[in-house]
Amino acid sequence: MMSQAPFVRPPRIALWLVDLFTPSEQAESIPGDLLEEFSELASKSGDAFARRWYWRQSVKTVAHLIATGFLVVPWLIAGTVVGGLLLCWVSYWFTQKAVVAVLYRYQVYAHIDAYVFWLIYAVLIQRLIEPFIIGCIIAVAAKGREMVVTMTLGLIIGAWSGAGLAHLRHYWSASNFPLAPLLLTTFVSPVMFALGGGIVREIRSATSRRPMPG
Amino acid sequence: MLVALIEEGADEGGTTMNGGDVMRRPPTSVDVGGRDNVNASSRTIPRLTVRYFLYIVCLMSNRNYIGEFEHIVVLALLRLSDRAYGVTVRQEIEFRIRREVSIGAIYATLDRLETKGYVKSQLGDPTPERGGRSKRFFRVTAKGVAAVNRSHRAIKTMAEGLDLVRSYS
Repeated sequence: MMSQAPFVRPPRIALWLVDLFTPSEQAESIPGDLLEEFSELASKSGDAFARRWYWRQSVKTVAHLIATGFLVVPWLIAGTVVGGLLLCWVSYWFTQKAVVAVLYRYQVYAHIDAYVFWLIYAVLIQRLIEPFIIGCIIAVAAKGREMVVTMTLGLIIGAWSGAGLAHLRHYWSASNFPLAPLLLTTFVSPVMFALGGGIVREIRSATSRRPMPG
Repeated sequence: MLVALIEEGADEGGTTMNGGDVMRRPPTSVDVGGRDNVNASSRTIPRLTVRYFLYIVCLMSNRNYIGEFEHIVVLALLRLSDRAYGVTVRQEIEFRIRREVSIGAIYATLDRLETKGYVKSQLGDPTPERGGRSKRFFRVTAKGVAAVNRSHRAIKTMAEGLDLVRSYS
């Protein structure tokens, strides 16, 4: 009786990255081609070599898929990113006003420190939740290019916030304003856009994915 | 208006469009860096007017030109005939030109060629070694063959009489 060669799985993270960035019309062909060549290489040259090859190919492929997204559907990407920026602007403005209005209306904190604490942290928490929701919304609109769109929006917002912080650095250093949470949200909120996009993409892929063998 | 613009641009730059095909005429007033021109003062620098720039943009958006990598991919498809899909195309290119190419680059090029109408694709049956995913087979259309021929002829014509290794290396 012949023993069957064990099924070798490609690196999980690399596989997930390729799945995440592959447009829906190529969801079968690109990951399938990579898996086929990986299995061939693993049986010929060993697991370690095949894994290294898979990582190299995945990184190059993801870079190409991002660049191709801008060339193939530039208007979809530009439109959704601009829409996302408008949505950010409207929602940040609206929720900040709402937080301030609620805190003024119900002055339940007798001590000024507690009031300032909630004023600052409510806005900061909102700056983490809102990018996630906006990321989900624009990912729904940009079908097949969820990650490209959300990452672009995240980078723009991140660069914008970073430039704003750098511009106001003298003011922040002179005041007692807690800078650490502000810095944290500045750099975490762009990631939240991509997280929202990634979740939408995963849900979409799960509904159309065929079961893997083994 | 666009047609008029293209015609005017063609008059200025020595390039004309004929039924979607791009044909190159020997430049008349514009001649820069030609190796035959020994006298530097006889060289004239082209003036990039807005009209000429728009003409170039129109010409490029026509997308009838075929790039180097596109050329290589179409030739690989022609060699592989009915066995042409991502893996075989990548391996064929790697084997022949000894250059590691990513599968993403292959698909980006194939998609571009499909948009131009130079190749057509169809999905095959899913196979277990591909995790239940289908192969996407590609074949070159008549328009694609014509484009490769045109590009091939143009390069051959331009290279004719040149000793590239000795004179330009």
